[in-house]
Amino acid sequence: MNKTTLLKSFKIAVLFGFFPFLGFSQNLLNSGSVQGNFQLDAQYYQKDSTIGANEVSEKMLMNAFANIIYSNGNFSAGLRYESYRNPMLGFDNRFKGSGIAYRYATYKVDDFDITVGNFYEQFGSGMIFRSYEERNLGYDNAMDGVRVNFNPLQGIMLKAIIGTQRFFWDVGPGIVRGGDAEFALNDIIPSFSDSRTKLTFGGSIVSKYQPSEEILFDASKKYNLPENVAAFAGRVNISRGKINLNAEYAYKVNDPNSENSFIYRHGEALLVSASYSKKGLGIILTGKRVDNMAFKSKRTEVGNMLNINYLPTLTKQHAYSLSAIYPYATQPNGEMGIQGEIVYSIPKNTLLGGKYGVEIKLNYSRATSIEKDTSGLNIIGYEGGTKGYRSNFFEFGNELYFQDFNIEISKKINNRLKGSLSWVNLIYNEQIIEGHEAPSVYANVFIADINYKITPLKSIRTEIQHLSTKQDEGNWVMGMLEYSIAPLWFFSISDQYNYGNEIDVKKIHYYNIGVGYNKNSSRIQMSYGKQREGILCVGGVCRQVPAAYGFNLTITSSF
Amino acid sequence: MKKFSFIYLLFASLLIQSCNKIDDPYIPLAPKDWYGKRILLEDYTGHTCLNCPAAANIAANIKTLYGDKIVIISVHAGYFARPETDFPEDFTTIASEIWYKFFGVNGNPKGMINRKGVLNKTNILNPGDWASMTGTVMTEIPEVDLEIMPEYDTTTKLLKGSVKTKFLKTIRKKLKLQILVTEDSIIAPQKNGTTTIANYVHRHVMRGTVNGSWGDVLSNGQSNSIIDTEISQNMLFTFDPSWKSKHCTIVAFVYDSDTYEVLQVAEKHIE
Amino acid sequence: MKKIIFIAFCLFITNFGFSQTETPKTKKLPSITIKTVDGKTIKTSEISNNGKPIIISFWALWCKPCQKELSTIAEVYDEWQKETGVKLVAVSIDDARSSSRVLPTVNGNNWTYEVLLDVNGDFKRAMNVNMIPHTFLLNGKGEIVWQHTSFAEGSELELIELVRKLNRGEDISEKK
Repeated sequence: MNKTTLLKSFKIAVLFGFFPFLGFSQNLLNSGSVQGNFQLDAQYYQKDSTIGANEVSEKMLMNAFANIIYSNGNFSAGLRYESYRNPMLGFDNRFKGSGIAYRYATYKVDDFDITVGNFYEQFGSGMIFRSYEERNLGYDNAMDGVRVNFNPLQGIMLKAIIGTQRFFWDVGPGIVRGGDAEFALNDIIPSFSDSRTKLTFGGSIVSKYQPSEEILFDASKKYNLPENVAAFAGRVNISRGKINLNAEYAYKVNDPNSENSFIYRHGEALLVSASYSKKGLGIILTGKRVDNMAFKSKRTEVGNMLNINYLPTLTKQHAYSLSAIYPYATQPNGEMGIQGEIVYSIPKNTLLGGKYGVEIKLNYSRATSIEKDTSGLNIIGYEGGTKGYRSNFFEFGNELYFQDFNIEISKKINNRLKGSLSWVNLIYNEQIIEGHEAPSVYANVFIADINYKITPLKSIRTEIQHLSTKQDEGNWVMGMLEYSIAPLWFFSISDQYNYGNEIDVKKIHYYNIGVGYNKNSSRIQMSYGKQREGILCVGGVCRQVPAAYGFNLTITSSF
Repeated sequence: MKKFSFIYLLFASLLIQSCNKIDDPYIPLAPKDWYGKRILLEDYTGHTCLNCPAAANIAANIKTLYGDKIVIISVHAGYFARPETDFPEDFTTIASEIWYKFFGVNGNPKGMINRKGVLNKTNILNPGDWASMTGTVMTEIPEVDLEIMPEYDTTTKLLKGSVKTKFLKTIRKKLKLQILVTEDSIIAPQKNGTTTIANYVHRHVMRGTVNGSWGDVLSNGQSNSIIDTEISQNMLFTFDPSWKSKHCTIVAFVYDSDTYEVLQVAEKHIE
Repeated sequence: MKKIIFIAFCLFITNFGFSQTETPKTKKLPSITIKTVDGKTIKTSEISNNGKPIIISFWALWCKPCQKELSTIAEVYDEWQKETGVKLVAVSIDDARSSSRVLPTVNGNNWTYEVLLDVNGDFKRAMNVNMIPHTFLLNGKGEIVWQHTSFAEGSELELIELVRKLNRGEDISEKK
């Protein structure tokens, strides 16, 4: 028996030997509790060449996971078991397999807690560090290491982390370490605690270490790669009465990587927002700048894996199928963005408001490139190893990436009828966002979402959407009817019809029928139909959803 | 708790210093020890793949650096290799698509260096990793050597001749020999970032396998392959008339049929 | 090896959780550090309502059914509060992309709920929430006695009925 098997057997023996001991330990048992949840998504794929849906040799693909959390007083531990047999289409096939993908133990005492194993964490808005999961994107950059939270004084929150990041069923080669400190002045300075002005500020430092490797610039030179790359961020939040101001700035030192073509330029990002809100009215204006902020724990990685940070998009995430056809994705190498939103409720019993009032939401967002100036940098041919470009901090670049103006009006008409109307006007730079040559899409989407209550528990809801554009696939119309028997049943039937497509063969009906059953915290949902090829984005991180035809099942429950 | 505050401050100050600011971005390459092991670099690519020309450049740099010690083949397979209206050429082959699917390549550009560890999909490498992996594998001691002796008739387009495998050590492995044909300098359109290069020079395109998608069995692993013994494999294959034979090369490699790792590779021009 | 650890863990849990004759069936809120929409930091275990029931609803700006649920309850929230003293805590799982828009939206919609910002999903994970809307009902002692996912018009009627039962001291956990 060699050393590793001996160690393994020892671990198993300890685990099994542990139970009876714990079983008889009265004190520990009295306050322990077990909770968890699980979810299973399965899709049966049938071939349909008109929509580009493929069969798979397994016939059916399935993603499933289960979380179990045990807590007892100050101690908690948990794990997540994931099974991809095999991963559904659109999810990276390197997830194939089953196993414990996440496990941790946490101990809390007074002002201090420590977690060992896997954890998720965010510093500020996440611009230099955010470890999180988004199951339906297949995104998971969980840390594997140690995290400490420390609250030395009222109003001071300190965090420290160190570890490696999840890479499918393994970990990435880089070590990430960092710390964050946040100070809530109103809690720290006693004389300030009753002030109407609330001031919070914070700062974080994150550094990654990856051993140097041989990456060629040309046949005679390789890059002198920094093994340690650090990023710094500072943030401040001021609020007084109805006004709130927030700003966060991040700076990253030279980080040549595959995403930025190995330039040695620093990276910067700025996120600012100002809002005014009172009863019935909310106004917000946000702006952002991102310049060379792709930050991964593996230099040569591309795509969504091993991101250390998170760069949010400043565009509205649309919830309706046709307005979500053209979603924006963050461009880590450089973008400037602004967004403004007004949410207003016209009061009840006024002329415009009617008996129940009206809610209006107006939103505008725009994202462009950053200005890049390569003159004077002597870049011949490939830019790797150079500073890349110069860029004026406050200048918007010439290329429009995305623009979205939308308005949504919701109204309750009487006791039975309520609904909302929306209009979305989009400009979508397909070449930059999707990465292939195509003209920018100019689209208008109209949506009507109406709910009619037949009885207090039985409702029927309908959505009618229309998208008009001269580019890409042309016009779409969509209709949906959903019948619900609260709180248990949902039945729906919908169809998306691409009637405006230039190619006759592609004028397809993407129909779908579905039924859902919810009891307390369990939900089971089945649907059958055609799904169009598209992009699913959450927070600016996207994944391709391939076309599919067939039966889909989702089961989820918490216990 | 004061103790923890101190530890925290120490941690923070260490972090502040933990970055390397580089002043000189390039380092000249130092020569490596080479014991005769040649490297097979498979570049999985496609003509509508935007980042593939950059990856082909990386492969070309590696070739310029290592010369005959490395054999590059461009395997066109997957979604981005499909013929389209503006990209009518079909550079895919039966074997390319089989390998793409079997190894789970799942996108372009991706590559393999001597198919090392490829049964674990995380070893399908991004272009940035090709040079360092090549440098590492190249210093290994070869267990076999290969010699290709092609006999090509330009009129009948028939390839004959043989490939000789010589064992440099006594080993016991299940071995297969794969022989294939690549064609260099094919002018055809290629996407590159946001543009299309109409007259792109496609290098060492894998055109077809001479002895099937997985090659011929050299050893079934039941007995030792003794040092200094040789096995000769004959070739019989008809070239497609569209291939320009003066740009064609025969590539042969011996691999372990359990792990798929390539033990040795060789290439030889037809003419 | 991993399978063995998993089985071992499950055995550990079952042994631990169920071998006692008096296993407590109620769960309280976990203690997660979270921010309120006013920027204050609180611990979720401190959420209380003076011995009255609490509704905790997970939502996000991009989740239409969530906003419908909160708007529908907003129409009757004043009456609910007068009748039962119930408090609704709306936990937004919007991340940095949209978390700054939560306060203007809440005020613009005239919602009077207590709103918390769970920007990295820590509270959501600790409460085992997979899909939103996910709503929890806590009794006067802060124990989680009921939960439900998804929303259909009329579901709020079941919710207020359960709150009334709690106020009358009835045990609603057998509804599970």
